[in-house]
Amino acid sequence: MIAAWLRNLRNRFHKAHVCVIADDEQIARYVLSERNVRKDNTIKPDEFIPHPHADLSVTRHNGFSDEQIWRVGRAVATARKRPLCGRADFAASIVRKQPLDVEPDPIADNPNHAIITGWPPDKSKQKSIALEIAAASVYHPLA
Amino acid sequence: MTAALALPLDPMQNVRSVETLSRGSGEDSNYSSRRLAEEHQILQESNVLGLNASWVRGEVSRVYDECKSSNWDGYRAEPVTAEAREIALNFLSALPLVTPPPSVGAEPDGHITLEWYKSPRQTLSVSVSPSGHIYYAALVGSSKQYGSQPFYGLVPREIIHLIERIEAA
Repeated sequence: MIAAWLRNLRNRFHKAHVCVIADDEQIARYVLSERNVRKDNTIKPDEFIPHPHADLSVTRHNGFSDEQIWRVGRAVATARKRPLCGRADFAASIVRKQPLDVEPDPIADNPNHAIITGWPPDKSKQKSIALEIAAASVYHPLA
Repeated sequence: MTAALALPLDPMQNVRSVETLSRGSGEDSNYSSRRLAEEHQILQESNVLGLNASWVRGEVSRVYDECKSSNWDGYRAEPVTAEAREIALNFLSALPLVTPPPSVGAEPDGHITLEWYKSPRQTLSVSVSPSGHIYYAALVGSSKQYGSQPFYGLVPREIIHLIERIEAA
């Protein structure tokens, strides 16, 4: 119980003091559905619709090696009981060009976890934003 | 007097042609409208020309089968319902003849998506909701367009024009 309390305190301290995400930092969205990947290895906007959450879960690169980024992706896929197809990488600046922001949100199993916030409630606007992010993303299939 | 039933050379105008010939009144006009609608349906069921018997209907059913359970994406997605499937199929049937088939997907709110794609910045995505509302967004080069409309059996002109622009890119 004390260990859990200490972990919680550490996480809250960490959350308050993690570095701000720079505009040029790369962000990864793990792709768990093959249907969201086109034949030319580009990503459909369906991957970036935040519903039912208010924000979209992503992972910062933030100094992680490629293997570390994939390790987190495999953990995410295992937790979701879905196969890991690959990841879509894009710069934080792409998000901020929309009326959105990307904020650090470290969690126990992923200190580089982040969330894309500020989504408008209108579905068609969400789709338009998702199209822009998808168009700027680079897809890396799982090797 | 029965109106001529010849289809226009441009197949993308078929929806507008049906509407034009329907504007008259009287038995002849009603007969013309029914005959056009029947012929449109026959052509839509053609494997070569239509979206009814083509593989895209099978894709809609496959997406429904894959996504009809809650949490189908592992991120707490809502299920795709039979109603959304039926509306998506009706939407496809209402498209002009020889419309290129879209790719089919689903979004975590349970909507079925239909996408016409040439490149990441030449894309139209249409979401079909189980309530019969259509949401769409498009990137056409540096410009973007988005909106929503209820679907009452006729495809909104904005969407037809966007499909034409994407395909012409």
